[in-house]
Amino acid sequence: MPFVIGLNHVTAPVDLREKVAVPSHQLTDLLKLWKEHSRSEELVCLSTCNRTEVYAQASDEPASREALRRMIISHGGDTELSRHLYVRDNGDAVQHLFSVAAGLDSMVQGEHEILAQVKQAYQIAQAGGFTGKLLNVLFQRSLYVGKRVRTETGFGEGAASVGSVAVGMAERIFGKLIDRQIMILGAGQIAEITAKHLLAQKAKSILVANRTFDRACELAKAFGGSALHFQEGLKKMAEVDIVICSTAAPRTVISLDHVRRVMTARKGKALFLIDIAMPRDVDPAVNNLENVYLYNIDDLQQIVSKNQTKRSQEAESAKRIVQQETQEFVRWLDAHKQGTPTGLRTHHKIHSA
Amino acid sequence: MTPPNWIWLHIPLLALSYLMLLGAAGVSAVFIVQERRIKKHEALAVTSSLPPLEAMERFIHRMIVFAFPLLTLGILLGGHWAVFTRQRYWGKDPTEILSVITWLTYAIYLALHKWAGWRGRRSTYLALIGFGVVLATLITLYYFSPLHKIQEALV
Repeated sequence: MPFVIGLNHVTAPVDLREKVAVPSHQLTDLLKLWKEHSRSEELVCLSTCNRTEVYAQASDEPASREALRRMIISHGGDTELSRHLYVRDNGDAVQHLFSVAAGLDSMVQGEHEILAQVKQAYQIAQAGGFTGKLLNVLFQRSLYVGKRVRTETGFGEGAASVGSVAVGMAERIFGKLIDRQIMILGAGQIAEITAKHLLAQKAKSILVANRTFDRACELAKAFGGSALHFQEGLKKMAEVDIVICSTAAPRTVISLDHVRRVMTARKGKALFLIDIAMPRDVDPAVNNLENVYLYNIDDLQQIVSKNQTKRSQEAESAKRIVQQETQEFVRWLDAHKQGTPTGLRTHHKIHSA
Repeated sequence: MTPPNWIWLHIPLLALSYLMLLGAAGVSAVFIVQERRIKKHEALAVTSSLPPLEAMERFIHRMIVFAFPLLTLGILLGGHWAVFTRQRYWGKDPTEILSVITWLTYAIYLALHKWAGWRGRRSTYLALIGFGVVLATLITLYYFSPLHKIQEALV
């Protein structure tokens, strides 16, 4: 029977998770050590920034579990760890892995990276010869469950942060952001995060304009962009596609007339303005101009919360699929244990309510 | 006098150009819906998987750029044909009038795009209106044009 022992973002704070996390290039060596010393027949270790879990199968389960617990603690080098580890057996372990693969157990509900991480963890263990019949079937099944949740439900769809909504909108306007110029006016923190999101999409270059030129230089350096004086920045608006505004100015610094002139200079090319300053930097009437798209923090936040509501509705459908697949797997496990092997059925689509 | 035998090119040239203009109009309709969503900050704008605005706009423009010379040539050939059948280049036939309006609409679209920086919504509306005129032309062609006598030809 399979069991899992580990910790995640719910049971352990980040400084403890860091201590236990296993970089993928060390996984094989560690699995070898753990397998020998715990007398487990099969082992898979899943280690990401939000969790480190060891899935195992052993004939002497209690002994193997105890040994693994000790080894995880000594690997992390902190006795505090013992209070944060959880263990799940049998059906619970199966359900746990399926939930993880589905993104139900993630910090950001429904994120997709975890499925690739499960796959990688499994492949490393399998390549090292640490898995056998049981964990092979279990992990392959978990990948199937993760995919099923993704294709049959809307779980994980829709951007879930202000930064990612801004990127999503930018891509809806411009397509790939690869050749796009970005400018940051002012130097607030959300502006920085949003810019990071945009640069992650390989946007071409970034200009930073700020009232205090030193701060502009600092930020520009961090992003590998160039710094501008504030007035220069305003002038350069004709050459950029995306402007993130977050100055500390007490009233609007970008007027309707200014943007109108900018649009004439741009020959009508679309301009995306993200105004996350409080109070706002851009005259709201700017949004009425042709081919200008102005989003303030509330507009972005509203989309985020709509997506989050949608996500939690879809989470219910995802949970139903995990439930159904767990039952099916436990049925297979029981039959397997009794020596009357059966196949695993493929389910038909559950229609979400 | 009989018209030269290449005069029939009038028909395929216009058919091909209308087909491209139909493509431009179809994408224009999608563009208008999606552009409004983005302008109104709707969540649906991000979640729906419609193409980016600029890509749609480029497609519309390209279609019209290709269709326009065919349209021009097709209309000119039509006029040439009328010289043989009616002894005049251009008259008050409704199809002839609407054809010229079609041509003008797309000419305005291209001119504004090139010289006035018309992009996005307004210019897309022009593409849609242009195709509206094309449809009107085709209707008159079938029902009202004494020149074309399509109904008789089809019987």
